[in-house]
Amino acid sequence: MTAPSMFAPGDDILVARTLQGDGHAFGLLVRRHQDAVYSLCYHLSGDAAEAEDLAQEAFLRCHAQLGRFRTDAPLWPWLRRLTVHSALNGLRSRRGRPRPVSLDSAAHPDQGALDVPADAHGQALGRTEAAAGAWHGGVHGRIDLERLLADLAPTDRAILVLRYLEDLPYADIAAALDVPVSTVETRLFRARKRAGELYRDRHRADVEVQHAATKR
Amino acid sequence: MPRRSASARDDAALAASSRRLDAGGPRTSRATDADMYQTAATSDAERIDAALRDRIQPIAAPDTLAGRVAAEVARSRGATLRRGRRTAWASRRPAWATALAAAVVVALLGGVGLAAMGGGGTIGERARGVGEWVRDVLGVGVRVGGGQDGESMYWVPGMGIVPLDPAALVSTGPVTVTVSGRNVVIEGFVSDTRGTRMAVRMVDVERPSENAADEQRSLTLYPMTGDAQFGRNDDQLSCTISTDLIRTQECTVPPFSAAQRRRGDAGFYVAPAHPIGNLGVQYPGQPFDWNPELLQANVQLAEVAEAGLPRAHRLGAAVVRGGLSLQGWAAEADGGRLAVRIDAVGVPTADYVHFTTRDHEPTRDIALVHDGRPELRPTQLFTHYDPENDGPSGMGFRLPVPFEPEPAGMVTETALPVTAVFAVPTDRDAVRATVRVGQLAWKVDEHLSPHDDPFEALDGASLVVRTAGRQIWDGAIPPWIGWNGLDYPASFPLMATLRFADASIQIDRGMLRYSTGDNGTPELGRPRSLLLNWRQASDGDRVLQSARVGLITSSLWSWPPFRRICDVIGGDLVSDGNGDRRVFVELGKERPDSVEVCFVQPVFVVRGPWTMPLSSP
Repeated sequence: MTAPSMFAPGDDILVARTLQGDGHAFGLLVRRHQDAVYSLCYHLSGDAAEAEDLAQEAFLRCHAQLGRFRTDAPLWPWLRRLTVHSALNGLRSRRGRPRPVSLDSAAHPDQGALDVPADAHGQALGRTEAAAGAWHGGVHGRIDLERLLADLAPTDRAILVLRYLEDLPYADIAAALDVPVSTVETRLFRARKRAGELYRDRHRADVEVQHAATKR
Repeated sequence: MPRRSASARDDAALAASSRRLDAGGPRTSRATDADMYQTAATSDAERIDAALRDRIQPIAAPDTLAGRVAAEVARSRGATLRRGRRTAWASRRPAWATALAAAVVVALLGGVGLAAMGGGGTIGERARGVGEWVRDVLGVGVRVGGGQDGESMYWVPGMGIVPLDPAALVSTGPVTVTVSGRNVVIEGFVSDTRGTRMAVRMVDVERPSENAADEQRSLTLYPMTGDAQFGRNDDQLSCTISTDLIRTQECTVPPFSAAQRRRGDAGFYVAPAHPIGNLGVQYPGQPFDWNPELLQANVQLAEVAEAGLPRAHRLGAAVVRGGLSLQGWAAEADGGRLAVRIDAVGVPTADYVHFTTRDHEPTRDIALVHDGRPELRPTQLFTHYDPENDGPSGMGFRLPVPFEPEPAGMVTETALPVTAVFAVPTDRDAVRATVRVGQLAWKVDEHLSPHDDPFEALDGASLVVRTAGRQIWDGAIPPWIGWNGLDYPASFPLMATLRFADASIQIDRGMLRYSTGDNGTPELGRPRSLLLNWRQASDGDRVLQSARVGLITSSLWSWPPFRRICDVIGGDLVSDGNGDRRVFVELGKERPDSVEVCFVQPVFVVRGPWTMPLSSP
């Protein structure tokens, strides 16, 4: 989300103005939240083009349902929940699973991205070299999260995304997805377990490759 | 007890470490849970957690997203309207029914209705909402002073008064008009069989309590009855507002007759004005000629008949320049003259559009923030020929100031009707008309940078001058303005000098450091003070005349936006020459990274010609 400038109206004001028919106000809302909405949609879908479609749909729903928004509450949690549900519905309607995304391309868009947004608009926000290093950890530490994310059901993927993108506690994730907290815990555990399996597989393969190279 | 496999143990350890990671929070867990990384499994968990966190990062939205959303929203609205128009009845309905239907939509949009007259709120609040279909020519005139010998008046057909139904007229939005240096805002207008009510206020009045009895400082509105019943202010046929009441005043005059409304001549008295010369419009840097096929003679702002005004007809095809669609309209007034109207609809790429004479004479750099309430959209204003300055007529509109610039790809869904009115003697020789759309404004902060401004702030403070339609009067502040002087939606000054009524400074308080004392109380690394500096230039330029310093302590969720509370913490600072003063600012316990210091009633005098800001600082 783009922080409003000193004189920029708050979300509550923009919502009120939007409800009064001010399209410009809604445009400001879109601009303010578009990164957050798009990020959610991108990580839920794994596809840049689809993410844009989903984000657009989420904003349209937001516009249509803005009258239901309680203006005494922050907008983003409401919009986030709406975005997740809209995206999940959109993904279900497409009857397909998210397209795989290259983790390399996400961390390093110049290294052969698949569907990661291009540099023109898809620059990761707030990514640090340290974080990238934590992911790579050298050749031996690579985890094929691409497979992990692609294999997850949309709801499970949503849990993962809300957990790691939004840093949401379990309770908030459960509230956003309308599932029990225990479900969040279980599915998050499964996802991590699956990631662990993938890691071990990859690690084992790397070790074998190293051994083979040593023998030669 | 069966032995657990290595994989099962890994899974258990992974699960446990994952839970601990989550329990400690994703950002801090590594520091607090270092012990769990002693096993291979927890190391795996760390890698997995780090990998997931690294993989799932915020991604910037593509530039096209906002535009796509805007287009879809507009399309969905358009579809709704089209669906409403595709009825069989709609295709056969007569003109009056069309107007009525449009008026119903206006009523729905703007919350305007006959019943609204008795409701709460001002007329202006009720009478908003404009439809692009509004093309009827109805007139409104404003007369300054009393009697038939009053000062110049003007007439603005198409300013946005529409028939709500056969029995009522409403305004579609506030309009700012200028007469002899006095700006008048007609906030709302409703006329029905019970009366004609307007919410009007005068703005840009320097000394509100002075010369209240001066007739020339009053403004009289006369309903255009067609019987020349002007000049009578004691028979309840007119309404006078005076400058000592800057607040919005609602005044009522008798209702227009049904015949007037039917004929479309319901309006206010129109008097002769002054020649205006050629018409021109120029786009910044790209002057272009535009012949809207309407000007068959020199354009002169001439007397407009009081008689009924027929519906305007389109003149030629619209042209598009700078994001604006310019369309000429004309209506025959009387005596073989045309009332020419130019509508500019759209979002200009320039933030200010100016219509002026073709010869590109320097114009009065009038740039009104509509109504001083920049939250209103669309913005519409009208200025007219000023005989005192012998300047040409100009009119324009601008986007509201405090909002961010229109994002690329966004469209404004509401039409921005801009109307210029000229009476054209039709028997003159044809004159090619050009259109001048000028960018007359730029950001104020380009000129009022901290280093150039009458005051500077220390410690990395950056100056933000807010110029969005605030005005401070020289005299005492009327009590109804409010003690802080920030909340009142005053008008934008249009005087010999530009005055900024409120300004704020964002002060970087610096990094927190910890005291060497025993209690370890965090303290700021920089002094809690603000240095004000002003100077008296030899030419009288740029003077900080006075200010009181306070802190903006809270923002309210109240309307209008940008309402802030400025807690005054400093005494009056009077500029009596060169000098500076350090003002100590108590920062409270919140210890934010920065504080916003506000000035209460500062008056910065910057000699003209001046410019207006294009966008928020």
